Formats: sequence, C-alpha cells, structure tokens
Amino acid sequence: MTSLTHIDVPKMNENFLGFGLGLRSQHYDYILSNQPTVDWFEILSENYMVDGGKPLYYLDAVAEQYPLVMHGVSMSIGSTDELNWSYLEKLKTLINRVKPRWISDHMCWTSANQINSHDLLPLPYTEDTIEHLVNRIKQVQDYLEQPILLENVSSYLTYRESNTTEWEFLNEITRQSGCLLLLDINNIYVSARNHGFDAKTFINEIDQTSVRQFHLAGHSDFGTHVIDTHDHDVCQSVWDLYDHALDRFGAVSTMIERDDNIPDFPELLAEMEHAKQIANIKGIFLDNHA
Amino acid sequence: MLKKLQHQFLKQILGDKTANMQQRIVNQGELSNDFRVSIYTNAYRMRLKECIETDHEVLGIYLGDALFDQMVEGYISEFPSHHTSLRYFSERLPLFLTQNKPFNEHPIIAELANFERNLLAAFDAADHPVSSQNDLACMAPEHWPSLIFQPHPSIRLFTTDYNSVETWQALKQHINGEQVEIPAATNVKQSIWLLWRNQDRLTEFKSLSPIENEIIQYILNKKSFADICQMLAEFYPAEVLEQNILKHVNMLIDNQLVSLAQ
Ligand SMILES: [Fe+2]
Repeated sequence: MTSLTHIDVPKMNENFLGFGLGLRSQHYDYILSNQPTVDWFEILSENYMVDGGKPLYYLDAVAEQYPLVMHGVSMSIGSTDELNWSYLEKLKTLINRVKPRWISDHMCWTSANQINSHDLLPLPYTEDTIEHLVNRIKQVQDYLEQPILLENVSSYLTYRESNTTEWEFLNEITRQSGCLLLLDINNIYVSARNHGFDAKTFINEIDQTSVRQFHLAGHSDFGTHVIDTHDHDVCQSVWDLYDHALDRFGAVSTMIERDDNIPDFPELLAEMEHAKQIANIKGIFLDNHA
Repeated sequence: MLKKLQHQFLKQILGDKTANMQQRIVNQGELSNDFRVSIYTNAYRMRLKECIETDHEVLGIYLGDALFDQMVEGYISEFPSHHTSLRYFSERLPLFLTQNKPFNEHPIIAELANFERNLLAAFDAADHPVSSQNDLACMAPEHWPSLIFQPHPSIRLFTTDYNSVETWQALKQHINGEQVEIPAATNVKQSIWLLWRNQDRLTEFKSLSPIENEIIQYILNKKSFADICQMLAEFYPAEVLEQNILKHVNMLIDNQLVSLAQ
C-alpha cells in the first residue's frame, strides 16, 4: 500500500488522502491477508458502536495498516428532536479509538419524536432550516472538537416551502457553520434526475473550498426516476460527472461506496482504479498533487 | 414549522396515510406525488424487513415467506425503532412473538427468535481475556478458596421448553446446503443452554446439566470458589467430589469461559 508518511504533502492538499473504499465486513479477511493497495478506508461508524467481538477486532487491525475516515448515518443533524447526546458520546468514544482523518454524516434528518426512520430524509431548503442546522452543527463540532463533513443525500421529493436550491442551501450552511461537504456524485445525479435539474449546475455552484471528500456509487434506474440503491457499479453518467467535479474541485479524496449486493474485493478495487485513472489523466496523483 | 413537517412525514412513513404528505410537496415531471411519498414509505418497510431477515435468518426459514411477512408487518407496526443502530431494532421480536397470534400458539417460534438474539448478543459483547490450564497450574493453593471466577462478558444462559436449539441447528445446516431432517417441534423436557464467544471470536453454545447450570449461576453471582465447592459437596458423594470439582473447573477453562481473579 502507499505509505502516506513518506510523502511530502504540500500544505494546501494535506487533506487529499487519495483513493479509497468503504470497509465492509465481507472483505475483512481479504484485506488483512492481501494488504491491497488502497490509500484509505471509510468505516460505517454505527457498525463499531458495540462492546467488542469481531467488529472491533477487525477495525483495530485495519486501522493499524490504513488511514481511516468515519461515516455515520444516525446523527440526524436536521431533526427537531434534541441532539442525541448519548449517540454523540458513543461517536466520540469511537473517534478516540479510531483516530480518523475526519468524520462525516448526512445533511438530512433521520428521526423525530424519538423514532428512527433509518432513512436519510430530505430537509426543506429554507432560511429557518439553515438557521436550525447551523446552530446544531456548531454544537456538534464544539463537542467533537473538529469540523464535520456532511453529505448531500439523494431525494425523491421537493417540499412546497423550499425557496432556494439545494446547492445554495448547502453553501449557506458551510459558510455559516464551518462544516465541510462530502459530495456524493451519485446522489447529485440521482436528485438531478428525480427533480429535473442539471447535475453540472449543482457542481458548478458549490463553493470550491468546502468539499473534502467524494463518494461514487451505483443506483437503480427505472426510467421515470432513479433510486439510490448503492448496489450496482458506478454508471457512465456518474463517471462523467466525477470527471467534471475533478475539474472544479481538484484533488479531493475519492471513494467507491457499495452497501448492498457487495462483490468480491478485487471488483471494487477495479472500480477504485478507474476513478484513479480519471484523476491521473487530469494530473491528480496522491504523490505529487499536481 | 420544521417540527410539524417532520412529525407529519414520520407519521406517513410509519404507515398512516391520513398524514397526507403528498399535499406538502411540489408536482414535478412524470412522477405523481403519491409515488414520490411511497418511495420513502416502501424504503422504510424494506429496510426494517431486511434487518430482521439478516438477524433472524433461521427463523425466516422456519416460518416460510407468508408467516415471516406477517410477523415483519406486525412487528414494524408495534415496535418502531428507537435506536440509532439497526443492530438493536429486533430486540423485542421474541416478546412480540409471545404476545401475538398465531405465533404464540407455537412457543418454539419465540424460542428460535430468542436464541438468535442471544447469538447476536454474544457476537459483539465486550472483550475480556480468559485463563488457561497453565494459569490454573500457576495458582498457589492458598489462593484457591477466595478465588472468584470472572465470567466472560459474552456468556448468556438460555432456557428452552422445546427442541428449539436442535431445530435451529438443523435449519442452519439446511441453509448451508446439507441434507438434514428438520425435527418436529416437541416439548419433551426443559433444557438449559450456555452461549458464549471464544477467543477466536467464534460464538459457541452447549447444553448444560443442572449442576453445570448451578455452577454458572454461582459464577455470574460472583460467588467464591469455596462457595462453589460447598455447593458441589452437597451434590456429590465425598469419594468422587474432588474429581468432579476438577472436571467442572476443566470445563470452564477448556471452553474459555472464565478468567481467574482473587
Ligand atoms: Fe454516499
């Protein structure tokens, strides 16, 4: 694997980790016995909020060999319930164990009335929502003592009360709260198709300095609409959009996110290599940050 | 405003069609508002169903598709998730199965669910070292009476009135492609099972004799080795007491169940 410690990383790009994959339990043994060339892994935080056993054993073993980032689904940052402090406490405990390069969750809400939908539900794009989010993001960042990354979610509906675009909404939140974005290129594509906006406009309008990480994933295309299933290969339209995002944002840590119908490790590695090739053609390498 | 919207949306997701979320969204393109809302309501049920399927694979096979779907629908409606992790969503499934027809007419169903919950609990319980025969040999004789065995945190005791563990094993072999006969549900006698995770992080289980169960109960209650010996002395004739104490201690050590502490 590429060792980050021997690389002269220019200050501007110290957050470019290179090309990674989501860590999935199906691949634990493969990764530890083959030590594949992957620059970093992203873990799903909730999977490791347990007391012990296999999950934490493998987590520690992988953390010894690869840089990690943490990705959660249950912060429910946009919820109108109180912030879930017991969740945040568990998250902080895990942060102390993993020492991730950064942590992320989603720009959405997942729970209300103390009931968890286990889904990434969209927020109305309004001034009130922005104020609500900024206030909560600041509290979380203060408690975790670091900026957090929030990911744009795929959505299937637009609320009547929304009075701005998703990209303006995201920009306003990052500007006011100091949080960063995890841009999921596939989610941009999915939402663009479902709402009829131009995905490139979304990318062109997002503040360049706010993006810290990319997700690339697959979806299910039903013609009239697209569902963000994360169970397919990345499609050509999303690769094209990735190409465009690199032009705008430059060297951004990129990973393939597969949550379902998980193939053998080499297949995901090949997808990651494809992302690397697209970046390399543009002169984006981990080692020289051209 | 936002609070009202979220409560309304959640109400719809939980299955209440009178929440009328389609009134709150914009008409866009070819998809109807009903369809847009249904993407979320369907995803909710699918996700929770998948979670139950993953955690209760054997129970799913035992019930068959129709009964399994009926159970999933009932459980999702009665016990919405209050956890940030799906790992705990099905915690109350055994309770649901003992309270609702037709499942509670066949108590083996709740036992199967309960057994699978216990396996999950042992799987990711806290880590703790266990003692070896070597540690045992190094222990000075004067320390034995005050010794308190520390049970491994993964240890679970599970009582069955039916042959649910045997049924679980047969169904698991069936899932793995083996030709096995699935036993008929019988409640011949009560059995006590011990579940735990060994140091290779594999979950194990074994049936316990009444006296072994008594020993585990003593250990879980932090009783000393002297207390355990006293209990065993009432059970075994004097001439075979020592060999039986040794046998039971070996069982604890060889199965990686305890660590030795003063
Ligand atoms: Fe994503």
